Amino acid sequence: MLAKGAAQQRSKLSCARAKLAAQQTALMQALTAHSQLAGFDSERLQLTAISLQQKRLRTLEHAHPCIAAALGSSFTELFNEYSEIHPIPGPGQTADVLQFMDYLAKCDLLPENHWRAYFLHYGWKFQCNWWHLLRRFKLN
Amino acid sequence: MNEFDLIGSQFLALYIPVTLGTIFGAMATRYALKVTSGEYRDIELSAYDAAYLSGGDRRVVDAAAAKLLASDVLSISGSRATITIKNELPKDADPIERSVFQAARNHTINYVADFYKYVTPVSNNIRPKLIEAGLILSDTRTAALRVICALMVLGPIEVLGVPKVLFGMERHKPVGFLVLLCLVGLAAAVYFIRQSCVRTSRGDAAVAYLQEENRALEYSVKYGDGGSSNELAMATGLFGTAVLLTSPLLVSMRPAFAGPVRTSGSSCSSSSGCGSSCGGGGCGGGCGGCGG
Amino acid sequence: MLGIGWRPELAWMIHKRKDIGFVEILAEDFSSTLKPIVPIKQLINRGVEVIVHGTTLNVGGSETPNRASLAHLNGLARQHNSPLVSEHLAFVKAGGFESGHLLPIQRTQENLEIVVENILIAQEALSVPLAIENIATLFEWPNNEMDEATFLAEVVSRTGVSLLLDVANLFANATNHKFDVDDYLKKLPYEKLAYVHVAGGIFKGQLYHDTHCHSIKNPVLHLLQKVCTTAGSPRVLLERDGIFPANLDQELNHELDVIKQISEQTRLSHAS
Repeated sequence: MLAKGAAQQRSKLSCARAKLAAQQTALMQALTAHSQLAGFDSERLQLTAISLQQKRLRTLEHAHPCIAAALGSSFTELFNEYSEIHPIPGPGQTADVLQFMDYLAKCDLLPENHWRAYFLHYGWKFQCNWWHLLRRFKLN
Repeated sequence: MNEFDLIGSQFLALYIPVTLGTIFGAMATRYALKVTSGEYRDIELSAYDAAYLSGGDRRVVDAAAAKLLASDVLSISGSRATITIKNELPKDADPIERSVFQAARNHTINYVADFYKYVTPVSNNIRPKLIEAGLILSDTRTAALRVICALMVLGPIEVLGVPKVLFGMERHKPVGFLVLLCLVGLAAAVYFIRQSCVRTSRGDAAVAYLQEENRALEYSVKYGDGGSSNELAMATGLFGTAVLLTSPLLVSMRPAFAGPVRTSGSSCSSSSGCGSSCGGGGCGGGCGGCGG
Repeated sequence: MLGIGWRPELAWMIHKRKDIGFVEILAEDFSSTLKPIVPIKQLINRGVEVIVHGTTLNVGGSETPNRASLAHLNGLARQHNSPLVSEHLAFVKAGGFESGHLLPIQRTQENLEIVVENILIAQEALSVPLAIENIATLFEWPNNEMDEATFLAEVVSRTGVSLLLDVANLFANATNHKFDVDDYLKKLPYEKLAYVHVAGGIFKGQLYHDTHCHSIKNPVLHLLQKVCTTAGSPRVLLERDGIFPANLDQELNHELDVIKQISEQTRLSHAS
């Protein structure tokens, strides 16, 4: 009887998880696509979407400041173009940076020596993701 | 048997160990002088003392220039990063700062490296104090070290290397590898003869201690503004100008330290700014209003 | 006890300030396999506690917490001898991608069960206690079944997790979603309060943005005072994540002094 109750509880929870996943995915899609979502205050959602976009831009800038420096004022413009093509950032901290760099490379706008500058700047952060970068460095 | 009659491989089997042996011998002599010299005294080291101890004359000039630029006594203008005087020097300025200031007044300074020509020798004010504290070798010991070590390394080249090269050439034998070995020995001799500031073991320990104590300052200068101009001088002195090249808040100072080669070589040396001060790599903060 | 979020830009300022009792490090910025970096090691040696603060555990997500993230938090806590690990009551991942931003969850009974299970899983995997922080949001989910304080209190009572109260986030939500702060504070389980966050922000029109990049506004300090009085002088930590001007040391030292003063005053009034 008890086991049956627990199993019921588990299946209820997994249903709830699936429902939550669908809800949260819909919200995240609305935020990345700057679109509306039924039931939500559209103005507030739009404000959140903008701040999410700005944060994404700043995270990129922060993650590889030397690219931002080299691109100067065109950095924001290029990011906006890039985020239209790739509205959803990849998983993990560095995925978006790497994807953005791929985009720049395709446009032939990736600055030379950016890794050297990055290594100089971000020594302390290698504590966290050096292997990620080394793997990438080798390919570049 | 005459060693000059040995065939190439046999001669090299003799020459290589002898060359390496003398280089190791010279290094051991240098080490022995470092270990045995100096009576330790507990002294307060200024930013410039620390700079001289860790990087010699040039580092002192770098540190003074960084301080004067940060405190707006000097400023950088134009695309060639010409350093000019912006404000008068404070009355209590250090003699090193005075000579850097004078150099900026009397000469055209395009990069901090240009100061090296005009601000010499800066060590006159610093060396006696450091020698007395047992942190660097005295002038006599430094001179002895230079001569002894250089002669030790030059010995096998003069006695064995050069004559063998001459014999070999006379006999139309290949001497390229031997010439290379001689050049290695020569480079070692030049290294020893150029030693002008040799730290004692206590000096090494003092630098290690200061670097450890100021590691947090290094982080702050690298990623932020690093506090007062005195602290900036200390960071430059202890860790070199690399700390200034990456600081997002010292962007204006960067071209002067980067020099002409690095400016063209690294995208990060451009003066357009190399760091977002906001964000925080996926953290709960960020200026976008996220609420972590 | 006074605390501050450790950031490389602030390393020297924190090093010089001897009354700092604890710091927070961002879990995503450090390796759990390498030794602590020198400035943090020095803080540990002088008795400063290091709390590991994570942002990507996704306790409000539909999936159970990631094992690798938990192992990372555990490793960092062990390395830095941390008394606890803190995270947010939020979701950051859904449908296979990450927002890079802390997003609120709908406060329903059903979602409460999920959050409770997620936290229980995390607690089981962590070798140190976990604290959960309230977040600031610009929007609310429709059809919330309970208010934020009730949801938070319920999570705490069902899991035994500690509470990390961010007064700046509370102020932001109270301002932006127009609820009564006193009513919110009445519902919190203070016996489980681990520490308090405070940070700066700005008003943009009628909305308050919790930026962590500006100075602390007076209403936030008043709220801090209220929380300190109610909670019996808890540990307070200042967060600053961006816009580091040249005179930042001065600004942050002033803010830390004010926080310390509030903390001291409430402690003394409690003692008497």
